[in-house]
Amino acid sequence: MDAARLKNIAIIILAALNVCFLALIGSNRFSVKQIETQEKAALAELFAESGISLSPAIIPDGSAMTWYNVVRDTGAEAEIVEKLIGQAEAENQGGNIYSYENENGSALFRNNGEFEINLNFIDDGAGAGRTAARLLEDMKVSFITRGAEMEEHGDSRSISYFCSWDDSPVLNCSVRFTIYAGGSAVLSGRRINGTPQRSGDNTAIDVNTMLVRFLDEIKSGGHVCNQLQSIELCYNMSSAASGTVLEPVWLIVTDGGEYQVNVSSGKIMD
Amino acid sequence: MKRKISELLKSLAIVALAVNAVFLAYKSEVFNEFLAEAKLPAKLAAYFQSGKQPGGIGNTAGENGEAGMLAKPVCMAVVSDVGARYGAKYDAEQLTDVYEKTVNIFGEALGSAAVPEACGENEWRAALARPGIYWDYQVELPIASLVKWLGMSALNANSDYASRFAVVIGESGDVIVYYANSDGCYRCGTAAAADSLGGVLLEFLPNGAYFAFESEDVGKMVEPYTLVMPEVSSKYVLSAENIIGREDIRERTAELLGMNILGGASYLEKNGTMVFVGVSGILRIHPDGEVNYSATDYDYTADNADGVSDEQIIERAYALVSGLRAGCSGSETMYFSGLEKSGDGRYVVSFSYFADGAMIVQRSGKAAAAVYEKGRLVSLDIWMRSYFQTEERATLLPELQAAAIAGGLQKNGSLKLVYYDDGGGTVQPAWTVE
Repeated sequence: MDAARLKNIAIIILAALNVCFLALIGSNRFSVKQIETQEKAALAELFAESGISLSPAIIPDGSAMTWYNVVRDTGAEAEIVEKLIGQAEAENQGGNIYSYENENGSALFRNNGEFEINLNFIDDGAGAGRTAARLLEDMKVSFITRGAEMEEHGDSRSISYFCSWDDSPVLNCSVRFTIYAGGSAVLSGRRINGTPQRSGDNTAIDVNTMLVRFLDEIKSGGHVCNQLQSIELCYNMSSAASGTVLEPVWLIVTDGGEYQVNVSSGKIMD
Repeated sequence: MKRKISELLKSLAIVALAVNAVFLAYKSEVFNEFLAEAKLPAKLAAYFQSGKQPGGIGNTAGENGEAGMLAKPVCMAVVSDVGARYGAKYDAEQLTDVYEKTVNIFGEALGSAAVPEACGENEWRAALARPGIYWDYQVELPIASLVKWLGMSALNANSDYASRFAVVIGESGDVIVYYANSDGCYRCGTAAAADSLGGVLLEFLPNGAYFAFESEDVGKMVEPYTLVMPEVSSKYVLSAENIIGREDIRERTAELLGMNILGGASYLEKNGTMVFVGVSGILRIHPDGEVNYSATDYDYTADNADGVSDEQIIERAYALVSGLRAGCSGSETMYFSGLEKSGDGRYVVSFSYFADGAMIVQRSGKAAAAVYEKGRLVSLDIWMRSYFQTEERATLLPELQAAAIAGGLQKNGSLKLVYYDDGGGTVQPAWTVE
């Protein structure tokens, strides 16, 4: 049998093998999907028995949970300062607090990501919302505009955005932009002050188990709840002795309020 | 030519299909069991599953590593904005929880503290009732070292020592650090953010803890700054083990203290004490877990160790005792428990074991004492013991009653819950007054 023929046979066999594996993968995924659909329907029924409406469509599919370590990047802070107010020397105020000041404004950065930048004058031709977005982009801060509304207080206008990581909101990191009638502005809040790096795996319970525990806590805690409106995977940034960590957290929005749920224990966080 | 190109394309197609088949085979999980038993492919499997690079991106741990352990206090309290207090004492989990939540703002305040001003004891006591956090080390330590162990930069180099600290929101809304030592009480303004501190205070619900001085009766019985915890009613009984009986620990101890365990001189005394004689000193390892090291005579005039700071001595001693105890699996933690220094460059650094928030008192007092002269280790005494929680809990006298009895024995003494290790296999908790 010549080489050409052997190659043809090999191609046919390999192509058939690929098709078989693809079919197997497709079949597995279909089975998994079916099981997930059944589990979601069962969960919805369980909630309904307790008088709480839960649409299976809002239950997320199995999400990968990743924790991140964040190491503060003071170099990035200096870059932000240069971008927003120009050249300024960093002044160490102790406690890892650094401040900057020049004729264009001032900035202060804390160890836990909190910051405040005062701009003596800003061109607000594009509107406060767009100006805020532009400044945050200059700061390389990822943020979410969903739900952000302009507020007016006397001679100032403000808008706040949640910071985001991996397209998910970081619930305890938000930035507020305030512009005053005279043209000065303040950008303040808390940002992710370093590049998050994946940390070692932590254990998280699956979303169905989390919801069952959530239901248990709602019932035993006497919380008022008739409908679950959304279930979203978010993050919280916490600064502790071991460093700063971005940890995943479930955000469950109900008609009775919002709840943050620990992804490892399924308990409602205070 | 056409045939050549066609054959080349076929070869490429075979390679591509083969690679794709392997990839799809893995994704289909058909060979998962086989991969689980074969260790090398499992690493690749882990890579695909987790998205991590082989070798992983490791934790970026806090910069201070072991030195950070020295910063953890033995007693803490948090006061809310309405003056309600949450106390943490004699409970390792509770202490760790409060520490983790307050360490950042505490470090920020202490690091940005301005030059201290003396204040009266009344102001100190009033500060303890203000919204804020309270840390008590029960031993004076150098403030400059503490700032460093917390991983913070210091605005002012504070050469004071202190055992008690409070970071509070002052009446004008700014954050103030107070600290107290044997000389008095001091206050410093800080650049810490009151909002940040306020946010931390919201995380704790009151648990009835109060300072002895806040009660007229209790204040007459025990040391006024004793944090009374009404709910302490029982404590785990511990089992104790002489870890120096383990050959690996014995060998490491000898090596770390400069002994040549292969070719050096060693002998066994009648009482079971192993003695090592080395160039740098003599090491005695007793069967009851006590280890004594003494350095040989040394000519210090050739040394230039004047630049060694208190903090460096403490860290050296801590690194040494931690190294000796590496690999111990007990539930005890080693805390810094004192620094004595004399003008001739002599330091005595001591450490104590704590289990579940309570100090373990050894037969000779402290768990470890290292003596340095001009930066060089002169002697080390350490109890190489390890402790484990048993299922048994010992019922305790409520702290209030213990205070009443303590007051009868020694007015205004320092009431503490400790474990007494008498060398046996079981260690019981008990109240003590100093």
